[in-house]
Amino acid sequence: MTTTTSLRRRLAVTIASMLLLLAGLSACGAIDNLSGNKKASLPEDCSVYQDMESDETYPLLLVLLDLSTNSAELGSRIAAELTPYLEDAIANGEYVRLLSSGGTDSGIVQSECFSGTAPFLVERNNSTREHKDREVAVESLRLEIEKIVQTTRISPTGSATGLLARIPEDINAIRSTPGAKVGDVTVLVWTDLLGVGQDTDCLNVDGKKASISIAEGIVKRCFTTAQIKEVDGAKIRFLGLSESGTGPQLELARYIKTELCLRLSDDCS
Amino acid sequence: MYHAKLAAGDAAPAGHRAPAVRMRATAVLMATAVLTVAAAGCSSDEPSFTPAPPGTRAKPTIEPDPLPPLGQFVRQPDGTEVSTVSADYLFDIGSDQLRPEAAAALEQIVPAIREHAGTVEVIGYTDGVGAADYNQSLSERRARAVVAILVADGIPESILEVVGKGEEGAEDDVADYTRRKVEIVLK
Repeated sequence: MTTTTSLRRRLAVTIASMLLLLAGLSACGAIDNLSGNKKASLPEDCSVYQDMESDETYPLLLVLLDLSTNSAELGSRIAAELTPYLEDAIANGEYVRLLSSGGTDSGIVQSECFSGTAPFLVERNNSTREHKDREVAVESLRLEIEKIVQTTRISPTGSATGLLARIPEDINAIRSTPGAKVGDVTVLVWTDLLGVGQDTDCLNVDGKKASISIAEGIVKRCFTTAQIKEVDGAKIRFLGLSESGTGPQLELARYIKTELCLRLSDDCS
Repeated sequence: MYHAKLAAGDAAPAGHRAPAVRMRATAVLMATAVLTVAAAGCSSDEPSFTPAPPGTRAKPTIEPDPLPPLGQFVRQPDGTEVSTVSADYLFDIGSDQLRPEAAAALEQIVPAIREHAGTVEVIGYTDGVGAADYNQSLSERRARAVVAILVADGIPESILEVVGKGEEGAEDDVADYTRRKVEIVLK
């Protein structure tokens, strides 16, 4: 064998190895599968868990996160509370849109992953594979929610008003997405209902008394000033009310939830 | 050929391996290295995002507004005595499960009931929001929940009567906290 041939072979082996390395790094999931250690990670593209070509009608889940802190612990708790909903979405198909807000100065951020433009759904021909892939998908989406919480900037003031105000327009936006067929609508609102800040914000409860009549007055004002509007035909669920706060804060938040529910939707709790 | 004489597991002296064998060994070593590097890259536990600066919203100052003592009964023109408790205080929305603090507070009315010689009506009401049938049922279930607490506190069930009045007296489709209540009537 000549020296030139040997060099050529070495070069070929080196190039082949580099190509193999690139392929390996770009296919971590595949390697994890082969090694039996498939782990969930933040999804680079949530469409891998979505049915992009479906013409079925699926329910819509609108998730609103009114965050008063952005700690990792809160992210984990919110993700844990939402897990049953994610499991349901992945198994049965569901449009999911998620909006988060850290208060007055942070605005409202719409998650790219949970944009609600295509339904989440993981289906496989093999039931064992389907079960495993659904578990990985749910875990990945949990991590995405934890990331959203931790990357949200928190303002010292704010309330759930802006998010609640957007419910009708976001439902309509998803309903009018080309190709989308939306069925039942559920709205999950994560909030402590302990708003502070601007006097014009109807859910600013600073300095208020923890009484049922005050709660009624607060919520009535939200609707009479059209800061919040009735939501027709949607289930609304409030989560996170007892996350923090003292006795009077929790009491007032609970009374406000009751008043909001009675005015927002026929199916609210 | 030299390499054909090698038995499995035999080590050829360095510098004496045939080029093909050396190439194969190199390829295997490179492939192993590549897979190891790739696997190490995949198993990184480092967070792949940058968290926002830690932040916390200020909490509002809320003044407490304790309920008047539940044991206060108001004498009515017909001679009965009535104590009224807000259903919003006793129950969560749509629920017939007494909140723990409400169950404890209801014990305040037990002495007055013990001293009463007649019967006791526990009447549930709702406002006019929602379906009338549902509200009728909810008011009865809530009255029953209050009766259950009184029985647990030693009041004989025989003197207690559950009444559900649903939306009676309420304006249709109007949320009104004054209509969401439970009355305890000493007859």
